[in-house]
Amino acid sequence: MVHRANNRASRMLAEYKQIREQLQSHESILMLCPAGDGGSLSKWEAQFCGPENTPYADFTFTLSIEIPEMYPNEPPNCRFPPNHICHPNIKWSTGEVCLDLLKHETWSPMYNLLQVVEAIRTLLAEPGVDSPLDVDLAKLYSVDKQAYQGLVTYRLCSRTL
Amino acid sequence: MNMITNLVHYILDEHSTRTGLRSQLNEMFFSNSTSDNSALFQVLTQLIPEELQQEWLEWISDGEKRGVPEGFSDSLPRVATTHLSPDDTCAICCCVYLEDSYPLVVKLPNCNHKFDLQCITLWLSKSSTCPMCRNDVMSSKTKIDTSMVELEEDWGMYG
Repeated sequence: MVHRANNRASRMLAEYKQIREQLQSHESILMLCPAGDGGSLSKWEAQFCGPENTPYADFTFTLSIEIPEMYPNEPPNCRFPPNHICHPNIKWSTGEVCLDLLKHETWSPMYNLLQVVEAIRTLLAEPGVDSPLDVDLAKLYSVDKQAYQGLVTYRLCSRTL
Repeated sequence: MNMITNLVHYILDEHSTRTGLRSQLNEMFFSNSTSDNSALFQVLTQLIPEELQQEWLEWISDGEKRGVPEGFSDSLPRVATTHLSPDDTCAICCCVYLEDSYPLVVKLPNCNHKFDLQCITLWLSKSSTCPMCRNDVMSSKTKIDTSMVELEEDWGMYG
């Protein structure tokens, strides 16, 4: 199974170079780089600003990305720290993210880490209320946007940094 | 029906083993997998060990998640190196094809998207769509000629 590991290694190296070149053009992504020892390129960390005109706009978010053995044939595992972000498709207590793009059925090896981070950032602005992880928040979002924004802002302000 | 006759002969043969019978049953099931197997399944249910039944049921329900049949990727048309430009890259591994002195590049039916044979084989073992355009690679109904694949491998030994 040597070729599988090679596949991931060459791909991660190519992505690493590409990210270094392209990160400047993604102003909202403050950071996207290997985490931990960094040598294996199997764990990454991203930091980005919340999208404009949303209750997330004034906050910064941290995302940890784990690259599975079968990447890019399998999607990366993305999660926020616990008690970090309040959103209909993100579990507050665990930071688990529910996004179609990151599911096995919809993932394609054409997507890369930059696109994944951008997609998660877009998710903040456009919650998918049809398949929420936080049912109550999704309901609030669809019936009372103002209350939703208030609750999100309250939760985000109360998080311990 | 010929297969069933064979099976009965096999069961009646005193030299038969359980493993042999199992493989015979398996062969019947899978060689017939394009047509409706439920009738065969019903007839044989009484004879089949329960865990083997379970195995088959799982195989049936897994059907949609499966990739392309074995040998499909090897039968894809190769792209000659002369048709590759210096900056053509495999979108799965992000490597430039021509950096390899003997690149094995194939193109998918209908959409003609190019990939490293090794990369696309791995992807198609789990999925049957093109990574770039999600075109179903099986929809073209091209008959897969696996005999040619084997022939080519043989040539490789001497070439």
